[in-house]
Amino acid sequence: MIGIFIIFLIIVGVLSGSLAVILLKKAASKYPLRQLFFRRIFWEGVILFGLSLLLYVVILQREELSVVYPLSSISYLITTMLSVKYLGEKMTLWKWIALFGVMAGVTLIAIGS
Amino acid sequence: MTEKSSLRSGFLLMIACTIFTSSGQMFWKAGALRINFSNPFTFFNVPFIVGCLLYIVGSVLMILALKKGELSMLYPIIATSYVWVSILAPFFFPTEVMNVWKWAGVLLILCSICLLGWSSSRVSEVQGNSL
Repeated sequence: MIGIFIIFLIIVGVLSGSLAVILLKKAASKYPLRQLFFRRIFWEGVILFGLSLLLYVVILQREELSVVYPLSSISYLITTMLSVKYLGEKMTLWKWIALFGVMAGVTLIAIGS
Repeated sequence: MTEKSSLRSGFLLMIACTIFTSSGQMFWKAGALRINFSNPFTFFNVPFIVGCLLYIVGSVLMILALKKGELSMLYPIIATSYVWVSILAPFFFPTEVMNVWKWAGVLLILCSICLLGWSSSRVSEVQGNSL
């Protein structure tokens, strides 16, 4: 049985990872590359990205891949929803189908692991 | 650079990113086994550091890719790292084996990523025409 502590770590990891790429995308589309290092939003993204990676390692040490993979694939859904809400990106039916295909594929790999 | 070739370079940069991050992951797996959280010095083992360097290169490629296209198209491409790991891990870790489930997952992810690229390029075409 998966512990509440691990579920908490996975939620924090997924949210910080999704938020991180939103911030990095905002930074990358707004500033030229050589200015990125001097921008606060870039470093906020990097720190959140680092946090999500660190949590991923901690979680992988304690849980089976077959549990962690499908849960972490929720980050694709959350990131897409955030990019529609905060970056004004457009989704189409085919893009949704592709997104759920990716998540289902990750789940299949998890089942086989 | 036209909209379409920008999309394509973003797509390819993202694939390159996953090749680096998934090799990084495999080094991490080898390194993580040597880490003991009560002794922080165990973080400084060779596979773990090589994994970190590969991850940094992959992350830089991701930043470059993010300049080229929409996040809703680029981010799910990260899932191709599961494809590389599934196919390559059995060569390096004897406990990892390929099976029908994994092959089905690999195939589904690859088809979905192609569909995502195709449907995103159509979105940008429609938007380009309407301008």
